[in-house]
Amino acid sequence: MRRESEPSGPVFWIAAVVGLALVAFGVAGLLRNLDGEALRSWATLFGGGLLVHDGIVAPATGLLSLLLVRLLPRWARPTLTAALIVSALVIVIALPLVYPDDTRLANNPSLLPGDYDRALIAVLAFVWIVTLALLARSWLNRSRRRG
Amino acid sequence: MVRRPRPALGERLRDADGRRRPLADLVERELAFARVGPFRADAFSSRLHDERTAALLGIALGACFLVCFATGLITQFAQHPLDVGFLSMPASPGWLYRVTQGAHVATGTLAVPLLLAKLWTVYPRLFTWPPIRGAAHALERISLVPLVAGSLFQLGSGLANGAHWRPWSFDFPVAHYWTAWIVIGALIVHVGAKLPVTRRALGRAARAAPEPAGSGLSRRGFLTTAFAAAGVITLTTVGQTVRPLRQLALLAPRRPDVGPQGVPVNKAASGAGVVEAAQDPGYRLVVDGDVARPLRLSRDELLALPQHSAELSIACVEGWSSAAVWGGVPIRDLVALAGGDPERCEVVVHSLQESGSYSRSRLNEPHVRERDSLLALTLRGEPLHLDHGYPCRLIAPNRPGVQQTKWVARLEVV
Repeated sequence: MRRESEPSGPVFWIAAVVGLALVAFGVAGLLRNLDGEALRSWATLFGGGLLVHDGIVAPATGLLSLLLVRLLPRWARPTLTAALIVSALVIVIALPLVYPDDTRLANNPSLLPGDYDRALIAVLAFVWIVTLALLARSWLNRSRRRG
Repeated sequence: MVRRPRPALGERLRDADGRRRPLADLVERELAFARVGPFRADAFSSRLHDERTAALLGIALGACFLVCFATGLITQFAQHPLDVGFLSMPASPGWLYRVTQGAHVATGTLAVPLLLAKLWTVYPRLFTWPPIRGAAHALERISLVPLVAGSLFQLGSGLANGAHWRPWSFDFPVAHYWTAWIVIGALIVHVGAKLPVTRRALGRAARAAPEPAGSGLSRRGFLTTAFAAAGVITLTTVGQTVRPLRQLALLAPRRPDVGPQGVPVNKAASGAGVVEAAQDPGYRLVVDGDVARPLRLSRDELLALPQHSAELSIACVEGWSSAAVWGGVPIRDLVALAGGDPERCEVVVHSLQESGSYSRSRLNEPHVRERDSLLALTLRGEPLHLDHGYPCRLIAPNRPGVQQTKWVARLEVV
């Protein structure tokens, strides 16, 4: 990435004033409408999400990708990387569904009607079947080129 | 060896001609030794940490956030009307809220992979050197805290809320609504700062430039992957509101056809604590307030009145929706029967449920006038299931599901 330039000009400063006013409006709304404990709970999730992402998830992804560069054969790396990314994102979306907390079902006879463990496995299986097909294609192309 | 004396701070702040040095140069001079680990210029070698990738993901994400924000405001003002006429919720088209809230949850869900891909692309920027280069640069960087924290909060809490997994002690709609202003404000600052970079990254020269060199996933491959993930996630969740795709809705917290009488329920009668009151033979619906002849009607008396049926949908704020044919007495007929003026009144609908923020709701003038706004007694021709609001419930077009008050005890004309 090239070295970033400092933002400047009237467009930036107008956007900054309008944007910061809206941020202040939002913060004021939270302070007016949430009491002490609720506010603490909000602040924990708000700051916690940022810290967990920037402090754990992103560095761990970086380290994992360093490892993959060393472990995976060059011809298979793009496809496998893509498959791992899609799988991880599908798992993130499914987390609230597979999280083991059955108390939430007490008053909601139609909530979470599926078997989400199996559904998650089925979706991941689909992703990896497509991946295997793509890998087989690149492998064939590669051996044909080598002749 | 003679040691050269270190110049005083005042001298270091100025160059040979006595002009003040730029802040960036000063940081570089004074603190360059501290530049290790991720701060080193070559710390992030992947070609995916690239300006054009960031710009393209940013535009897609910005579009999602705009849709989420606009449709979120519709929900907020449907539930908490501003007393401004043109902003009140119209009664038609009846499908409008179903579409806006379906779009809110679907775009929020598909923004999750885009956000994570975007954060990965720009992560090295966290270690920008020097950390600040001036007032504008500092402002831009500080605004990233509410932008990133707020985006993660909005998407994460929205996703968890739809599955009723709520590891927090705040009222979700309140926190989600106010945090949205924080995110949209920080996003405006960010767009203002990044406009020149985005223009450059999407310009003709950048389009014509070859892919950055390197091995592994290409830029095109990475973008395809992010959008493919968004596609898989959308296809396996959106069936909770787009009925033709319901068979694919493997990862949706609801199915539009699963529930009592084939319609989902958000709160059961037992959860609302109304099981006994709703089945009491002495139940009477009260119609009072600004009327000439207050009424008390049993369920049988309601069934004896002229019935009207309409296909209406329950469109939940959580993003699922389900349409069915409901039968009952139009609210406007009950108002007229009690001697009120259905053309010019509002109605507050009270539930047997005693507490909770959704134990009552308000029908505005257009909704009272609308003939399809029903006090429903039947669903698909059968008596209402207890969990759908037996003995009778409100169902009206173009309204959030939480405002379709169940187990109705009283209609207060105001």
